Amino acid sequence: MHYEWDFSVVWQFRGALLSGLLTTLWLTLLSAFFGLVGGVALALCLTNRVATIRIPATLAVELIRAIPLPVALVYLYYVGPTLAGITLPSFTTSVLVFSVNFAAFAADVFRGSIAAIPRSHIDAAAALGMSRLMVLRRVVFAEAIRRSFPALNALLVSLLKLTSLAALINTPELVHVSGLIVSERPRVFEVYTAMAALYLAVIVPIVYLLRRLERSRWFALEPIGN
Amino acid sequence: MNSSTNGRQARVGMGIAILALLLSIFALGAAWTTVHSSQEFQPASQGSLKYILNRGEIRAAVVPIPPLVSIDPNTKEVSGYAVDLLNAIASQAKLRVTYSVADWGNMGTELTSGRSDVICSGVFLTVDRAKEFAFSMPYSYWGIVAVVRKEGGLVSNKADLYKPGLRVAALVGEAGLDFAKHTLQKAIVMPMSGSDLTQPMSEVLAGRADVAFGDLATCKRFVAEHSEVQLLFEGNPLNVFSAGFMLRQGDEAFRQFLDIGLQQLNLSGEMERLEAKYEPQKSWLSTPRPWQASTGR
Repeated sequence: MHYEWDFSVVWQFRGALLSGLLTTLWLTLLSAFFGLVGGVALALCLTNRVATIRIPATLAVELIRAIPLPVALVYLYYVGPTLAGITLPSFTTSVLVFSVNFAAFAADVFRGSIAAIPRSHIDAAAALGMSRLMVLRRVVFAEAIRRSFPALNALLVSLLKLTSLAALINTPELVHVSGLIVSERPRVFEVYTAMAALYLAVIVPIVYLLRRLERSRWFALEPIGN
Repeated sequence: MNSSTNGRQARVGMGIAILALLLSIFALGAAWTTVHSSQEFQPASQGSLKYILNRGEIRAAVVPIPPLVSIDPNTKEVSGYAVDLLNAIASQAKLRVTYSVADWGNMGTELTSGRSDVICSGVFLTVDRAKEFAFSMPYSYWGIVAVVRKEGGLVSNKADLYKPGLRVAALVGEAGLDFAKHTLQKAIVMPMSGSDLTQPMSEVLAGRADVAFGDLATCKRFVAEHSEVQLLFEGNPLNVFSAGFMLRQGDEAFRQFLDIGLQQLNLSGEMERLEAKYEPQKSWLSTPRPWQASTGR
């Protein structure tokens, strides 16, 4: 099928595309940060032996995981004002929804990692005279973070791509901005090619860096010197 | 020993959970304060006008459809014929207008959720839409035309549209789709669910559809960008629809406010001046002035 490519539209709106990309990255960063904090808190609740803490946390995680992101975004953005009078801006809504979603999945990853820590490690630390808090910090957290790191990396890259859903509620991220460009100059193939290239230009280095970090001495599971 | 360990773990877990909750509440509160310091919440079910007058502000959601509404992707500046009309009406009442971006899929929800008071775009007045929303008086009339490939196209005149198996692309919710469904019984109608008005035309470009329907202005812009396709029925549209401001159903006072504003702009000749500014080639048919209508213009 014959088609004449014309990438002048990409150059014409380069500022808008970069601004969309920055919004995408900022959205990812904020959501990952709040998601990680929430994920750790939820994981501690999930692994808690006290049922009144564990059961609500489990229910919350399952509920959040069951709700598709587009539904959560649209619901909070549009139904929120009607039901509760909460009128959040689109960016805040997006950060909130992505953070909560990330927290639920991260919590499950953390929970699995905490469960995988051999009991002997905790006992050994206790035998060395470490306080409970010290065991939690130096053994449980340290090991859980190392064990979780590869899965969290995958979640982070997935989050970066999922932020494109924020376009549904008009958050000015890359996909939304691309839509605006197409409405001004209808060269869909060129604009979407540029969008794909920008995503690749960001995601590929991030994946590479995270892989390097996985193997670094800070995050490698094997102790240094082994 | 075990019970004391459990108790301590529980306290640490609770402490972190409470900290996360406080952080979230703080973030929500900050956002809430930001939003509500600038606007008063308005229940969707009540009339807009008294809230608008109290706020001194009309909250309009815009969906880009040049030349009625354009959003500069670089500066995010909103302009266009419909925007100028709304600004002119608002300035007469000493109101300001704030614009937020919506799309064809969620513009109705912008109204029903109470986020916006009016949809300022080229929204066609259709019976289906009228079941859910109210409209101002029309400020422009738009022809529905077709886009086909220049080479190997199956359609060159209106009779060709009735060929069996013709693949017709049109956007869900748009007038072109209604026309295709109701008129072209033998065609394979391909409803597009996106919010990009040029999506059906891209289907023709990609070879998945034989013909795409759309409004004249959008089709003209697409054809101007793509030499592989051409416009059909420009001088003799398949159908004509009127466009106006879309409002919540039952929002009578605000509708009357807009209607009177539009009438004044029409009678004063301001509407005609703006039409000439944005579309010298007249992709749409303008609203006739009363004395012109009576003389058969």
